[in-house]
Amino acid sequence: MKRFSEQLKKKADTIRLSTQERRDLRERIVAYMEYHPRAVKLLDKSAAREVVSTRLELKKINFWKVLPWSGAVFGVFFFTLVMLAERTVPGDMLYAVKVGFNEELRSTLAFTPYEKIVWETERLNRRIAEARVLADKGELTEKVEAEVAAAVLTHSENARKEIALLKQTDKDGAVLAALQFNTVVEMQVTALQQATGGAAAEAAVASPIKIALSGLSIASEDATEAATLPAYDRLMARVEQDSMRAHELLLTINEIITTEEQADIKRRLEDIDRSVAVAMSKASEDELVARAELVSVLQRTQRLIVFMTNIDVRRTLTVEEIVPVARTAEERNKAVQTTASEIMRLVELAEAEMATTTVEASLLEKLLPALAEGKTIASTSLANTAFTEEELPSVEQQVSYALVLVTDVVVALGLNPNKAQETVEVVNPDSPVETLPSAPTTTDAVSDIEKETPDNNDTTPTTTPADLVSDTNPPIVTEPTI
Amino acid sequence: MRSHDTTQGMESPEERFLEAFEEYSDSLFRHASIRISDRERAIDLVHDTFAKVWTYVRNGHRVDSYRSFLYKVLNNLIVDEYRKRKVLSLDALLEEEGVDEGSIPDLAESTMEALAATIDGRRAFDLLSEVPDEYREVIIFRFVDGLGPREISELIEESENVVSVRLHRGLKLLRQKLENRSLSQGERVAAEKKNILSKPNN
Repeated sequence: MKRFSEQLKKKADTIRLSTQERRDLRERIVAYMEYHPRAVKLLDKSAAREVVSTRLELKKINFWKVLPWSGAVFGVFFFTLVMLAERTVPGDMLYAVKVGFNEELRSTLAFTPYEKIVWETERLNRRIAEARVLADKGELTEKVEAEVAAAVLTHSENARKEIALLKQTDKDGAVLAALQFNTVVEMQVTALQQATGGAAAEAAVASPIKIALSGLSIASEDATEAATLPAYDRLMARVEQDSMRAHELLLTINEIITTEEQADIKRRLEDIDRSVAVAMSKASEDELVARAELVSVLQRTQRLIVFMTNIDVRRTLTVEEIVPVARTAEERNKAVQTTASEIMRLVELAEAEMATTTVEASLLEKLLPALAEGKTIASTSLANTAFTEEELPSVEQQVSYALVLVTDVVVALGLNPNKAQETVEVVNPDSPVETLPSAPTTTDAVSDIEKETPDNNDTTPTTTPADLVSDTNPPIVTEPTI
Repeated sequence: MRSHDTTQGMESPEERFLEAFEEYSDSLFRHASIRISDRERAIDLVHDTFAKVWTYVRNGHRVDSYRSFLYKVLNNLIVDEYRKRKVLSLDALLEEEGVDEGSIPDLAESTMEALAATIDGRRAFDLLSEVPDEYREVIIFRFVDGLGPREISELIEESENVVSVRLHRGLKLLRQKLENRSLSQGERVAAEKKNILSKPNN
């Protein structure tokens, strides 16, 4: 069969298209193809799959699957934006976010008028702090200063309105809120007053903003008026709350304050705790006194809180300037003993001088009674080492007076009371604790003292060492009234 | 006309089609020419074959094997051509030839080989036009185009058994015709000799 096939095929292969026929046939077929072109949309599916398009294709995505991820991304972005905005100051790009969104949002979270007042007070603090930051950088322009001052006024006005609103429904709450607001404003004013004339940066912050602050304190009335003091229970609750916060704040700032500041703050907190105990003990006898005491405690606590939370205030003021130490009875007795001992030393010095030198009779006539009086007071004080809380104020006053008296005598004799100088602590509870140098040595000062020497029966001193040597204003203790 | 849609190196359908023309046009023409014994008509049939296939491709269909598909289309066109010519049916032909299809004892390939071995292919080719088309097509598919019984059966849409029967018959018929022609030539030669021999000597 192979042979037959080969023969047949060989014969058949002679039958073929000629070149011309083939060409003609091809042309006919190509013409047919051109006349009947292939439709583009009817491309072979497999070929279409393999086509790589350079155009962008819209892909259908499942919205509900993408939503959680996009929400998470948006949330992270939003949170980051909010956190970054918190650190901005006037002039920064995100400052508007801080003031217009962050702070406004927090305002909405303050549901009670008291919380709103607290928040407006905080906003006021923030504006001043921002001004300080800009002043440090040297970027505190007049325009920014004016904006800060305007903001201070705005926030204080908001606080006033809320206080007025609160007063209609909760008078005690309004008093407490006003107390806190006044404390912050007074602290800022004090800090700015301290800054005036100090570092240029602080001084730059001082003037327009200080002017804005200076008139902000809500008017206070006499603290003894019962109508203005919150109820005892409300005061106690607030005092406990603020005391706890102050203790917690101390724990948090321990690492950023000095050891000395830690000790000072701890001492103030202990004083506050003692004052609270005293107030509680007095509550049963005289509630009004107890309430007044608690108001004082509350103010001191709030000052301490401002000191611990406001780095700018910490940089400008000392703890002692904000909250003077409240001495214990033992400390005061000890101070009395020390003063009395100093008096006795000066008396001995004067007596020794009078024994060895000739003193004019007229002078001697004046000096001896004074010396005797001073000695008597000192002796009496030395005899009793445990005066009570009630006795201490008058005793301290007396020994202070006796010290001045005897010092004047020594000076009048031409002696130097500093010769064997000892530090004498001033025991006036109303003045800051500080070390006193010796009394003035000029004859003019002596003459003034001679003129001002009071009657022996008058135990009220005309001058106090605190008034002579203090160059700082005493801490502002104002009773809150509305 | 060429499409330039050669994305990723793939040939376009147009290119594939024209490649198929280059490769199979001669074979198709040969097949058609032997089947219908008309050269011009065979060219037309080949043209029509390619036109039909292009229409098929143009409509979005894909042709995996152009060879079998082209032969099928051509075969159908040739059948249509026969119908136009009113070619006698196989049964009528069988009656004429005196062959009973059912009586063919053995259709095995070995039998066909034995049968084909007795036929001179060159002389048989000249007699193909005298063989009925049903036989002729399978002989041409098998021995000229080189298709197997299975492919032929797919092309003509008959079973392989029918293809084998027709091949056998076709070959037998070819042999018979060759023998008849040989006899005829022999008789003629003998007759001429006799004439020569029978003439008187004057």
